[in-house]
This record gives sequence, C-alpha cells and structure tokens, in this order.
Amino acid sequence: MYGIIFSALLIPMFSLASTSAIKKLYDDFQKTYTQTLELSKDKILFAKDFDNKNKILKKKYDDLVKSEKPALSTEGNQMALDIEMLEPLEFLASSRINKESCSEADLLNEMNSTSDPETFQRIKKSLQNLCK
Amino acid sequence: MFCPDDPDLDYKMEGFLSQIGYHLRMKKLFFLAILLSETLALTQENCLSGLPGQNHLIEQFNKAKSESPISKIISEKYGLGPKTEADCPTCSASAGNSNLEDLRRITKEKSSFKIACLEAAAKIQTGSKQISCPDKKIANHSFCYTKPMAEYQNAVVSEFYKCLKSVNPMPVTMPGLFDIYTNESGFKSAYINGGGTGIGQLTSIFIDDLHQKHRGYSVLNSINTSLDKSCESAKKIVSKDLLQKPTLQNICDFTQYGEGFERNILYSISGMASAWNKDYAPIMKNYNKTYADHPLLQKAQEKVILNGYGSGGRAAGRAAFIRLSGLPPDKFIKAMDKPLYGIKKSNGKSINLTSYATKTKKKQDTIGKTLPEPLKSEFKTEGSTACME
Repeated sequence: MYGIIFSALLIPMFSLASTSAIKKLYDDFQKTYTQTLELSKDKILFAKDFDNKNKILKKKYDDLVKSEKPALSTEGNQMALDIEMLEPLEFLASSRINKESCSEADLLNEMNSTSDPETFQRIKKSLQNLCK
Repeated sequence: MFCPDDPDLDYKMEGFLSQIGYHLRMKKLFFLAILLSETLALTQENCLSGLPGQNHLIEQFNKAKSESPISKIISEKYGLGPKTEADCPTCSASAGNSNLEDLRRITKEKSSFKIACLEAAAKIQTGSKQISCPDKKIANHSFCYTKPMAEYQNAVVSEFYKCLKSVNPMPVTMPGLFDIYTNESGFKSAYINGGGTGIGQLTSIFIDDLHQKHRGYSVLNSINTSLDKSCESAKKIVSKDLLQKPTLQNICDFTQYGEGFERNILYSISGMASAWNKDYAPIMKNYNKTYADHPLLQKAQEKVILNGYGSGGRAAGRAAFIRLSGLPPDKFIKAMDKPLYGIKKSNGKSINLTSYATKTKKKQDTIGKTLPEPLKSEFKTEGSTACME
C-alpha cells in the first residue's frame, strides 16, 4: 500500500525534475543560438567560432534527448529545428566564403523559409553580413 | 461557258452569281452549324469541378491535344486519342465502341490512378484564384474540369513517374503522388495560391533549386540523356529548359496544357527525387541500414520526402525525421501523422514539424468519405493505395 503511494508521489517528482532540466537546457541552448547568429563578421574567425558553437548546440540537444525520454518535448522539437535551420551557416563555415558559396548558402536558407520564418530572417541577416 | 458575244450573257452571269451566293450561304450555314455543335459540346461537358460554361481550360486542353507534341505523344501512348474504327482494324462495326474501348485498354499503356479517386480529389476545396493562359490573368475563376482532363492528367503523372523511376530511383510511390497533388491543388492545373503555382504548387525557389549544378541539375540532366521510352515526352521539356531556365515570370509555362501543366508535374516529381538525393537520403543513412529488412522502410522514407515537400519546408522535414528516428518504420509512419510542435514563437504560434504530413492525413479522410463503395471501404484501410488501378 505504502509502496503504491510512494511510487505515485515519486513519478510526478521525477517528471518535474526532468521538465525543469529540459527547460534549463533549452534556455542555455537559446542563449548559445543567439550568439551563434551574431558571430564575428570576420570571414576567417567565423568558420572557427561557428564550429565551436555548433558543437555546443548539438551537445545540448543530445543531453536534452537523454532527459526527455519516454515522451518527446516541445523544447526538443524546437531545438532540432533550430539546428537544421543553421545548415546554410554550417555550409558557409565549411567552404571558402565567396560569391558562389554565398549564393549556395542563400538558396539553402530560402528553402527553409517556411519551416521557421523568424529564424529564416535572422539567418538571412547573418548571411548578408558574412557575404558583404 | 462565258462568251462576250453571247446574247444570254447577262442571264448566265446572273445565274452563276446566284449560284455562288447560294454556295456562300450554305457554307456560312455549315460553319454556323459546326460552331454551334462545338459550343454545345463545350457546354454539355460534365464538370468534375468548376462551373459549366467556364470553358477556358476545356478550350486550352483541346488546343493542346491537337497542337502540342508532348500532349500528342502521351495521348497516343495512353489511348486517349479519338476512338474510331481506324484505331482497330479487327474490331467489327457491329461491336461498336465498347469493343474499341476494350481493345484500347489492352493495347495501350495503363494510367495509375482510378478515375473515381481523381473525381473525388477534384471536389476538394481549394482557394478560388485561377490563372487563364496565355493572358496570365489571375482572378476568381471556377474553370470547368472534365473527365477527359482527369484521364490526361492521370496519363501525364504515370508517364513522368515511370521516367523518373528509371533515371533516379526514389522511395516516392504513385499513391504518394496522389496525396501530394490532392493536397496541393485538388489536381487543378490553373490553381494559384500566393507563391504556389499549378497542380504541384511550385514556388520560384523550388524551380531554382532544380537548376542548381550542386542540387537538382543532375536529375534534369539524367532525364535529358535517358534512352528510356518513358522519358520521350519529358525530354521535350527538359532539353529546352536546360538551354534556358523557365521562371514563374512566365507563369503559363507551369500551368498551361500542352507544356506548362506537364512541366509542373515533371518538376514536382523531379524535385522530390532531388530532395531525396540531397536532403533526406544522407541523414537517413544509418536508419536505412538498421531497418534495411523492414517491410515498411520505403513507406517511412516516402513519408519523410512528402512531409518536406509541403509548406513545412525542408528544415522542418529533416528535423521531423531526426526527432522520430528512434522509432522503427511502422511506429515512425504513425508518429509522422501526428503533430510535433515546437515552442511558441513571438507571434504566439508553435511550429509543427509534421504539418504537411498531418494535413495530408486530414485531406485523405475527407476524400475517403466521398468515394463510392467498395472503394470507400478500401480507402479507409489502405489509404491512397486503394486508388491505384
């Protein structure tokens, strides 16, 4: 009897802990994400900085996935999308920044325009800064 | 007949002129009769959707059938041309048209969709903006869409799908294409919605992507160099486009029967092939390996492509796969039909990573209800697969 009551209390407590862990990971992720979009306009520094930030973002997403089981969280869904939206910048960071790579990155971003219009605009601005 | 010295010349001339007058009057009457019968034929066409009397598409379609080399090849191949005794030397006149119809079905290529399903899809409500061509006027039209048009569209999709499968294998199936065109436009060739154009609701960026050397160009080029018979008509479009990229500025190039409507179908299927090559196959590599023997793997792959085709876009399509990649194909497919919401944005709305897949599921349910039995019951259990011939 006591066992059942104890379990009944324990499950929501675990779930609450997991929810707050997810919330914290998400907030941290968003801070890093904003910094990633405002990275140096210096073409040489950008590649290195982007790579570091992108690794942090992916690590935070992996940590969240471990905490969110069994159900998927809205935070996790958003983070997965945010990481995908970064692909044009990731592409630029892995190439020599020139007219051709800029146009390619721009096209990749345009193809994501309906996925998340707000983030699309932020990335468009970053691309404009880097491709000046 | 006429001699200048003839005393009866005036009389003969008069008779001759009156004869000409008679012939001219008869000729006029004859043309009037033809015009009247054509007009009657137009007004008597049953509309699967749209309003009787709004005959712009019917006229466009009839012109394409007689003038466009692409339409001629496809119509001939799928037995959509005129059905006369000459088509069937061994048919007896007494057997009539049903005999000819049967022969036509046996000897010609078969289209993939059941006409009853296309009829149901045509009744799907979309916006009312439609374009007339070649004048490019977009207005609230309700163009009459007829059964012969549905049969022709069926043949075009079937032919181009075969071509694409031969040059660039991909997991998209004909039932998947049925879902896409139903969802996008209800198979309406002239439908315009925001940036979306025609049956596949193509956008400028979608067209640009297909022509990029590092993206869709290889798909178009493989059609152009293909020796496969199913690519004969598609090549007529692609060979031209590789010399000069078509754009939505000439919007009829993507809607008008004869080449534009056909281009829209070809580009939408080619775009899916390209998306599979460049966007989805690379991120699904491990998944495909893990579930290589699973009977529903292809269906799961198709879901990913279709979800990315629609308004949700490429990034949402990829993110949806990443989120659900821990599930085996059977569970993955079910999960893709449910919403996967993100965090609320500043506009108070959350992004749904599976918005297109969930929308498609809803439209399927709507269509299912309007189908005649036993198709209705089959559709309920099998989905669009029930719509295949």
